[in-house]
Amino acid sequence: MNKSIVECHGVVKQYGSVFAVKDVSFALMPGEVLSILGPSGCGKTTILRLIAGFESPEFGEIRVAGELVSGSSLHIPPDRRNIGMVFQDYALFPHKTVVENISFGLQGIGEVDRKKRLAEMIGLVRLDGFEDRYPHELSGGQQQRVALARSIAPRPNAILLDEPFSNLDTEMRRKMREEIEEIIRQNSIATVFVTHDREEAFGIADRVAVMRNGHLEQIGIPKDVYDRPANPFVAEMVGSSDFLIGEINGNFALTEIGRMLFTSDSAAFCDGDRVVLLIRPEDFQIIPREKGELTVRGREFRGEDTILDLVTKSGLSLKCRQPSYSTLMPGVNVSLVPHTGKSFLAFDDTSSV
Amino acid sequence: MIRAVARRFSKQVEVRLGKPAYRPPMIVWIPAIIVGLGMILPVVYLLVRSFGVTREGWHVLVELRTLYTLGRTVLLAITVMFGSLAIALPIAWLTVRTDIPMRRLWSVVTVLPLVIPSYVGAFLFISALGPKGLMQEWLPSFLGVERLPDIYGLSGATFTLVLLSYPYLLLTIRGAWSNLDPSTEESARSLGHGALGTIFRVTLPQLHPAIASGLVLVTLYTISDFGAVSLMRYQTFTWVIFQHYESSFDYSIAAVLSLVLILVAIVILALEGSTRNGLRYYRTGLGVQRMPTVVNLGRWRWPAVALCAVVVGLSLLLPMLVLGIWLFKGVLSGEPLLILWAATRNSIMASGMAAAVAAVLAIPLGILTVRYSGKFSLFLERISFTGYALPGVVVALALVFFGANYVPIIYQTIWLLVFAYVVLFFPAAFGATRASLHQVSPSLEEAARGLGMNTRQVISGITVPLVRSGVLMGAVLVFLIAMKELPATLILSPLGFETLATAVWSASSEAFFARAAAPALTLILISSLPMAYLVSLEKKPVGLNTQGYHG
Repeated sequence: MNKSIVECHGVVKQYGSVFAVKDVSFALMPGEVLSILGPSGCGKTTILRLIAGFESPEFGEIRVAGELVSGSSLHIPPDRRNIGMVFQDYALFPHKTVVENISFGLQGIGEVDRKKRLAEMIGLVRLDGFEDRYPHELSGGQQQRVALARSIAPRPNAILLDEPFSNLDTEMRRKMREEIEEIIRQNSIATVFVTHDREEAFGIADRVAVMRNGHLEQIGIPKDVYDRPANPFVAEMVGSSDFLIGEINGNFALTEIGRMLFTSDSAAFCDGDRVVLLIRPEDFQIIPREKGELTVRGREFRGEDTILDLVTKSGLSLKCRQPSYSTLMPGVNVSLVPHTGKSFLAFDDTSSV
Repeated sequence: MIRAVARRFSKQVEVRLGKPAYRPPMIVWIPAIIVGLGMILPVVYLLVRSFGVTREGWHVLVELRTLYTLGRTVLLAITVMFGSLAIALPIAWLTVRTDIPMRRLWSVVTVLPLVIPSYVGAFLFISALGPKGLMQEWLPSFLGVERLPDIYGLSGATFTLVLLSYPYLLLTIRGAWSNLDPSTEESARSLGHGALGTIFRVTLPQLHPAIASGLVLVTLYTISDFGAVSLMRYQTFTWVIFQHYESSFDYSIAAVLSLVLILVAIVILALEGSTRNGLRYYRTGLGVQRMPTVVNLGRWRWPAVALCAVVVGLSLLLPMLVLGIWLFKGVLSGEPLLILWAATRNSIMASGMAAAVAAVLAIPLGILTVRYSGKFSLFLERISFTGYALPGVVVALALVFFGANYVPIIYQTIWLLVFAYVVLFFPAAFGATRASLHQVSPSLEEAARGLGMNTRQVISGITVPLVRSGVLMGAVLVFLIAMKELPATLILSPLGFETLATAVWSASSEAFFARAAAPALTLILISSLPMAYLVSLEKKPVGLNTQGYHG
């Protein structure tokens, strides 16, 4: 039971001289939900289209349920891959009703089974009573549910969701995310989900893959990716991040706001090396002090918390999260004390930020 | 006094609109009403006239001859419909979705037959393929062919009209196809449907409205065509009406037959409306549109090229070649070319005036229907499209009666002809202007209001400058179509007023093919210039006459 459902191996996709996807490899396990996170244009949608078979890679192999579907001089067309896809704009057939849309992929099975599966799907996405509506007579959330039901009705090997919530408003987005997660978890459908919203990526996924410029930067469970990002880009992609320059001294890095415990995955640092430390807003306690190394420059009240904008003597800005009842006002000098046991991730100072 | 009436009227409009803040200004609604009245004048006048028709006059309706004419007209409409669909559908697919070699070239040249007027096309086909034609002149000498198959009648009329009208269908289908959301097709593929199944189950059903409205254009073109059917000697309504008009002083039979023809047009439009079935097909999502995957034709590339080449060869190259030959023959036999100057000047003058009038009048009506939508403006909008459904023969006939009886001062002048052109082709100008008005955000106008401009200043200072290109495009369209117009020009031209269209027709209907060649070529060249302008205007092919039917 350790066989992957979808496997990409060294996949390269080029448009002219532009690399949309560069040497991407990963495997999707049965029932697993993988989200691909990245800024727009990073190639994440192209990966979905490669898996679905709408594009074929220049190099590399793609396997679905163990079978090679894209490889050197081999391209299985989309209709023989049994991969469901939910498009960003849902792509419902405007000339077909809800029922006709959902049953569109149910061919080659008996009428009885077809009806049964259809009823099951309608129930699953709670569209009872809407069976004979046309797509334009549905709300955005309902259209989305039809698209999902349509893609999972033929019991696909896996489904691919391309920025499925980008057309919905914030409130609806959260609701749909929970609904869809429930459906794919209950039916343990292997899913690849593409988004540029980290909250969405973390909320729904077993593992997160972060992409930049067609390259897969890091893949792992959300907590690992957040706590130990592979580089500053990933750090910024998965959470609010500031970077502080420090100099190695034993187990510590000396910075302009004090001595900080550090840790590192990538390189072994020696005393005197310059590093870049990753700072997250939740890493510190703030102590107001006349002679503090930082000054409060601004505050953003957000309801559940308050984000303070602190500025160091050298003019560097650090964000720091405080309870919303914090009374620190702009102009106050403060010191930062790392939470007990907190060690800061250090990157080579040549890593791009 | 007028102002008081005007104020009362605009208050009424405002009540109907239920939007007190937006009251159409006088400079908008007065011209709009004048346009509306002008548009329905021919039909209303024909109806009024029909009250005076005697019982014998009405009797023509149940005559066998009339029924045969109706049957022939419908039969021709059907054959042309199928013929143009058989050409337009594959070419649309090839030029929108495949990697056919020289795709850009094909997508331009397959539309070009639009510039060939039907009577020019018909005379060229007859003179090439008909009895005493070029083909017969050359063939027998070495093949021993005594007679070519007869080109006159249904087959010749169908052949001509299909080859000259399929571009209307092609343009509408291609426009819709390139706007089609490719992800619906991709969905079908990933749900297990093959490439061909996807076309039939997903693509074509979504193109259905476009195909229907393109077919309406082709059908209206067919039933209102006069030149091709009369040269091909296939008696449809237009020809019969014209013969009655020419041969008798009692126009009542022509009037009754005209009403029947209008009825046919209404039935066609109603049929199209019912196929839509209240469904609105549009993309449900707001997502970005990605470029559709291009179908790799592989070894089918060359058969595909051959198909396009045959169509273009028959509809464009053959006519041009034949035209060249006749021109050459004409010059050799010393055909006088001087007469062309007068005809060219007359054509340009009449079409130019019609284009200017239609474009200017389209602005107030456009503003009224786009900015002040309501029942009243919707009504005006509807009737401003009547010209589409009216055959030129019918409008001309109505205006002859009307002009001779009520306004003798413009009867037998160029103004009556210009009036007919405006009634017939106003929809083209209106469609273009309205489309560009839809592009102007109302908030631009509101911003100008907020900065202290009054409605009139906003219209002249903001709105009109912003829609300038649309208005110009409308004018060019009207010019292009009016240049080619034949039946109304024949009926309404003042005595001795010869245009390029009438010159071609009078020469070719008497089989003086060499004499018809020069004006025909001039006509095609002059209408190619605005055509080239329109093609250059947009990257996408211009949906020439299609704006009217979506509205």
